Amino acid sequence: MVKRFSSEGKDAKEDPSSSSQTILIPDELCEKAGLTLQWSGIGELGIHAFKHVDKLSIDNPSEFAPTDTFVHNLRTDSILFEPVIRKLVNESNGTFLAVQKLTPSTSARSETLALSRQYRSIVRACIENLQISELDKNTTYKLTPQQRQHYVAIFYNIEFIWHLCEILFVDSVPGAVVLPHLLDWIRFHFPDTERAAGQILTGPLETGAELRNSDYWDVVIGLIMQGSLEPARALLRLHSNADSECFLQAESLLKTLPVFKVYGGLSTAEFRTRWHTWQTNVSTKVESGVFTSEKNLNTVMKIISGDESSVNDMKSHCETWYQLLVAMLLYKEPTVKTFELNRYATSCMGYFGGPERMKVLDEIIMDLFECNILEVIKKLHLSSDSGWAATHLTNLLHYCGRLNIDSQAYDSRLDENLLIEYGCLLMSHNSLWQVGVTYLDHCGPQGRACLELLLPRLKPGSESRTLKIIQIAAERDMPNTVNSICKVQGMRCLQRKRIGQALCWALKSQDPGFATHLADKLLLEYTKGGTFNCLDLLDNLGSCMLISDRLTFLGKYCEFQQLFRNGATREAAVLLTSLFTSKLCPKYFTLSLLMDSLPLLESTDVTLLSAEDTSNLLSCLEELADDCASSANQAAVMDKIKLIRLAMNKNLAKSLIFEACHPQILD
Amino acid sequence: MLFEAHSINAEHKDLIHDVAYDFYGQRMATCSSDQFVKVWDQDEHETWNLTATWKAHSGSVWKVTWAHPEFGQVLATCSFDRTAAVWEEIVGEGTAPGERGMRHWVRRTNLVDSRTSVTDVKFGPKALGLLLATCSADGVIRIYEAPDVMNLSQWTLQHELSSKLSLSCLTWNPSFSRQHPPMLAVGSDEANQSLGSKVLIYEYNENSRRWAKTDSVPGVTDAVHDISFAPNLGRSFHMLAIATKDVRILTMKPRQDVVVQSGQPRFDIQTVAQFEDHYCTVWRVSWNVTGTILASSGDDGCVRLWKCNQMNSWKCVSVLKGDGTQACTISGAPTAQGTTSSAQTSSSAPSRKFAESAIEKSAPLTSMWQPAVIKGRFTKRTWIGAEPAPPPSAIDKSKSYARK
Repeated sequence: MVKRFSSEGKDAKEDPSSSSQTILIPDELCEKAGLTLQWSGIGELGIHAFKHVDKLSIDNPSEFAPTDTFVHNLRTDSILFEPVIRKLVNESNGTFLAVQKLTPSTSARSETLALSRQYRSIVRACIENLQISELDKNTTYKLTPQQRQHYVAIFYNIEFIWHLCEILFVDSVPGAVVLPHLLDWIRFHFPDTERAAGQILTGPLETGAELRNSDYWDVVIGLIMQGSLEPARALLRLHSNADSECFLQAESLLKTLPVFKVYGGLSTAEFRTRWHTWQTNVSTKVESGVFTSEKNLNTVMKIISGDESSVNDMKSHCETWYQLLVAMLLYKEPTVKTFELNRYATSCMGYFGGPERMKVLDEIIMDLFECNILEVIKKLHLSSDSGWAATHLTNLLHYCGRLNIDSQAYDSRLDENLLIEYGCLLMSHNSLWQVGVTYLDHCGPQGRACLELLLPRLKPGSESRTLKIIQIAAERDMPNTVNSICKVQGMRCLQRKRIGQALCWALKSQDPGFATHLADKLLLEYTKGGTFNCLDLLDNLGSCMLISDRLTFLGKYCEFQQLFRNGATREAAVLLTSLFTSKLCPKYFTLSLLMDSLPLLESTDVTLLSAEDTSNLLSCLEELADDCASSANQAAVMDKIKLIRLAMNKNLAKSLIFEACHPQILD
Repeated sequence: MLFEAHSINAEHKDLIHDVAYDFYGQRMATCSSDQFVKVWDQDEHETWNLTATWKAHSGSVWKVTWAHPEFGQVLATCSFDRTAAVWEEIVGEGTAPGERGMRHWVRRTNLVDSRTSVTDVKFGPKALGLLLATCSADGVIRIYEAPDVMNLSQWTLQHELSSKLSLSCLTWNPSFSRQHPPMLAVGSDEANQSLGSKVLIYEYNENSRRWAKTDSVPGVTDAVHDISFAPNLGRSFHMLAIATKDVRILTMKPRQDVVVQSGQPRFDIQTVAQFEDHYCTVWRVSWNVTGTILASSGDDGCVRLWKCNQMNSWKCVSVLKGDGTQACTISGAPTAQGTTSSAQTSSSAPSRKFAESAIEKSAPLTSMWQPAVIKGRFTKRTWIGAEPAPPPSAIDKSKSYARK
């Protein structure tokens, strides 16, 4: 019944100069007449063919009539709503909430690093899920292989960027050496070399490896460029000429290469001295031609000597400019600081065609090296993950104190706008809305205003869903929202003639007018049928009945009936009298109430209703009689009135006599 | 943006003049020049079903609008026939089989005060009670009230304001508080520029118990066709969208120190956005629920969506337009036998879903992602441990990232 138009149908003609997309509505009438759009619900909209009419238009059928007209109901969709990706939404929510418990600070903290890694592992788990679901034949996820590939691509890139961001902004101490982390980053995302090395090393461990593996030197150079010296040396030992002088020299140089360790006990200056001594040694040997007999080994040694001329050799072993950047830094500037990266990055990019050849991913990485967080966020926000990465990363960076730009150009916290947008998106989804609430919770007054707007608009479903919504509103101290939701529920029940349920909701909504209306309905129903259809509720109103006079009367009346049924006639009589004297009884119900007094009046126990009580009742009766006399067609009512009057007179007489004889009872 | 769509044949035999969705977006009312109003309900499978259709007026029905569900299921319509009407849905009490639970719409009141076409009708914010404002081509704004919200057949004409301009549209300000008294704005499609501003602001004065014009929007002298206040998310100012020869978004800050009727403007009005992208007249404007996206429909046959970015500047994010070449014929659409107040449920035409997939082309970023992205340790092998095993260092690393 419902089919998804394949997106291969190139119905978007993109204007490269603007970021807007064109969506074509497959409707001929819309094309001929024009169209209009109406928003509905949360994140839904309707489109229909439309031609403007105004007071000057003649009220005739349009030029298109008769025609079929369509309404196209559209709902914003997001890849976050894919079942396979929802896990990411839910898990990242947990991490997000943990982040909110921190206080913003610029110092590198293990907490922020741990949370950042948690986010990344969630992204990885998501990629893993996508890949597993591909193999799982029983899966119900209807993803095409292309879609899956896209999703994997999106999240892979997010993780890649996030990792670098983590190195540069989350886990960074100002002035600290970043290269070891950058090496990790590159090694992790470009594992081919290591994998190839592993393959060679798992083969026969004897010399002649370069003859058995055509990619031997590529692997060695790759390892050197990623700073993986151990496997590189292991490979060199497998070379046929490993025993020759030049290989032995290389081995000893590689073995003595000083590696900077953050907690190595060496100051940067000391390390630099050592490094220089070592590298001068390498350069001298390269220049004196120690390695010229082995061309490839010579290249390796030139790279580690930091020789400018080796850049082209290195470039041919890199897929991307940032691989080159890290390799270059490793042998040229191993103690490079974060703020110096920018310069090297620009020059490396030059080797790969400069800014013109850059794709968005390159641009984002460049922006990161330039510490231009704002640009990064902007570009990430445009990505197809519905702002998931931009929102969570910005929020994390806020807690890392990296968004000091906030106060200058924006009226509010930068991450708040993103959080609101993300939260609202989730609120538009039938089962993710509760996750959305937690994001809006952390957006200050604007988030609260959003919640007040959206909570009542969540589509009413089962009662448990409604109760959940009410609970969430109540926890956030939004009484008006709670009352409104309850009132709407009450009206729905009323429409279905479920008066009892409606009354329950009316009490919850604290709406006196509504409660009065429902009490009236119940009383009128009783005068016709003689029963209440929700006696349980009415018998247990308690103090709730005080919300409206009419409901109070109804509640007390039910109490009277209960007393009477249970044989407590004396208490019943007292209550009945007070019902009359309080003037709470609505006119239409006076007769019913008077009829109820009959058994008490006719009781043999004279003391139930005193002479004064009876007089009060009598005055009510006469008032009613006057009203009825003025309106015609009340014969049946007049008969009843006569009957009651007679009973009252008898009781009045009896009680007067009794009271005269027993004056002490009155005292 | 990514959309999923359900298309339904609305079964009006002519253009639809207006579509209104209820508070939740679960019910839809349509009206057309065939003088009928139809109500559609979305079921739990998200299919739209026609649940009622009735002849509402003796002229084209211009606009239709829902009241807040706190007042029940209530619609208001206005028409070329110079009337406005309030309709309520009731559920039948009959006991005969098939009769119980039947719903139908009854006309609760017919508002016949206007001597010309009633061009717009809108319910007021619920906190003011059940108010209904209408405006008409002869320039009169009428505000009706149902004093007893449980009895919709009683409506009293509370206020009648004459603007001296032929009115085309009206909008209530959804927010009011101690600082913001009840407010509404009207637009006029009077083409004569010399008559001054075509957007007038009216406010209710608690002391005099009267509505009065307190300001007009300067600079809008061309015909105005639609007007809409944005939901207020705790802002200190109001935001108003105007459809005139272009799309405009204004902010209105109430001036604190101004005494009303002292001749000074009541509001600090600023144009925050003005788009001429339609290159022609704009007919309709509509805000999304949070007031973050504005949709405008123009005479160029396009709908444009405008969104505010972080720098507080508004940008077009989407353009929607009709395309006849793709039109799929929807066959076998059952026609509802259009008896008045019919409660029969006819299933909607087969709905369709179309996704403007951002993944492929709309979002600039993905299209620019490098194609060969899967270079990292995210290949199947790494994740499911197939042969050959990744190098030992890789395993260690992935372990070290194990979630806590």
